[in-house]
Amino acid sequence: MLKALAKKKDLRKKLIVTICILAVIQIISGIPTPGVNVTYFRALLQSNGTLGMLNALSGNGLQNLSITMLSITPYITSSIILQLMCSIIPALGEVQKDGETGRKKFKMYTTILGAVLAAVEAVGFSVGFGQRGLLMSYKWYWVLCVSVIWFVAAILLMLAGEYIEEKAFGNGISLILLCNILSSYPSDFSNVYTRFLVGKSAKAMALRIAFISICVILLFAFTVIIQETEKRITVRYSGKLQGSVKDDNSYFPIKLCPGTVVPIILASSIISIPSLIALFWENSNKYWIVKAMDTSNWFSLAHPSYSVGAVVYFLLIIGFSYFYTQYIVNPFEIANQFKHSGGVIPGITPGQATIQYIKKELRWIIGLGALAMCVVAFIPCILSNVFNLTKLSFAGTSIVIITGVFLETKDRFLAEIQHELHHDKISLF
Amino acid sequence: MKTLINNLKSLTVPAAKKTCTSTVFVIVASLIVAALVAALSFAGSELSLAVINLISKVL
Repeated sequence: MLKALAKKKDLRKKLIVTICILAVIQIISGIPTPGVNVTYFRALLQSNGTLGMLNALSGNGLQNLSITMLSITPYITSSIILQLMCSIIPALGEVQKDGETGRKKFKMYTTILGAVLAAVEAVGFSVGFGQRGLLMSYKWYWVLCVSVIWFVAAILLMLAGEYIEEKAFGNGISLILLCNILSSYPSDFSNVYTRFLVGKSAKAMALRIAFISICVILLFAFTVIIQETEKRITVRYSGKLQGSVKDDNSYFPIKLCPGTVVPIILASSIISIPSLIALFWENSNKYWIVKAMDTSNWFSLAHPSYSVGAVVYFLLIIGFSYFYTQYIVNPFEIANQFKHSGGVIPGITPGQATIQYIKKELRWIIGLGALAMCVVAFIPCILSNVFNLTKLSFAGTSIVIITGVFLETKDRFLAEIQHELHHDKISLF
Repeated sequence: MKTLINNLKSLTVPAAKKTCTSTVFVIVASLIVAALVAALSFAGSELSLAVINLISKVL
């Protein structure tokens, strides 16, 4: 594999550029915003699980109030809004489906809306919290200065993500998101250490470390399984194609979770909206909706009504899984592809029957995949509430994102190398 | 119930070896990236502090 990488100068250059961009982003994310009380949100983040998740998505942006405080969250919000608008405005959905040109146009819309949202969020935070202690001095020029810094940093991150996607290697936005989540690891280890290991004997400590490690490894393994499991639809090819005679059985794979991490990101972003809005009101924590949308209150035996939030989260994951998959797996296009390449699903006639068959298969596969995603999202949530841990980034949603992005990047890397070596079989290990 | 079991049986689950290697890859990679990210963020905050100190000395 290293030989192949050495051969492929272009890929090597792309990898170096990607790593450099991500490294610069991380260095910048360590710079605190001038004129801001950097500890302003810390206490709140310790007690609110949903805001903790939002903080992890922004790379500890809320906790440290660095200049990249907004990170790529405006871009994510913008994608959610546009994806939802596709179902209301069919013309917008058509743009997205219109090949490479359409996808570029849709990406441009996402960036523009992301920029607008970044401006609104930057001004909203500095004005809304400025006079309540976020700013050291609540003067118009400080509000302007802080807003401009946050806005420009958010725009730069969005452009960096797109640059990585277009000119460098991997999905830029996903890679930035991955680094953001992983930046919470040290504080998570510290949380686990304080909660389970402090003051214990060496033997008890070793047992607890072994137990926690096994739980984490099993959770990662289960996530890997659900992301790699696929339904293989047998396709029989027969006929003369491009000068060669094909007459064999092949298969068309449909992943158990075709949308990978997107439905779970969409669902967790929606669930964090009430907590985010509530930040702007004094004593907002007393409202039921805010408590119900806080993951640290779910599955509490003392307040079972707050678990309604978990039901909403569950339904959102299921809903977004179906909603998002229709944009990436189109039964009509697959059936057409089979038709043009002379492929037939055994026992199913080409055309409408094939479309219906793929739709039927997709329906249960997506449902099952979404249920599996919910298991990964909820098990750590239940465990952390049982053990009174409010914030763990390697739990639930984050674990799905981390695994999804690493596996996607690995597959892309192997595909690029494989392409170079003209279909020689390559394994990363 | 029978349909559900048949549907589950029709899925292709990754081989145990592939699952293990992928899991190890994800865990090791995430630990390495987490360490790098923490180091770079720390470098960024130290760098900014050094710059602030320098500016305050000059002023």
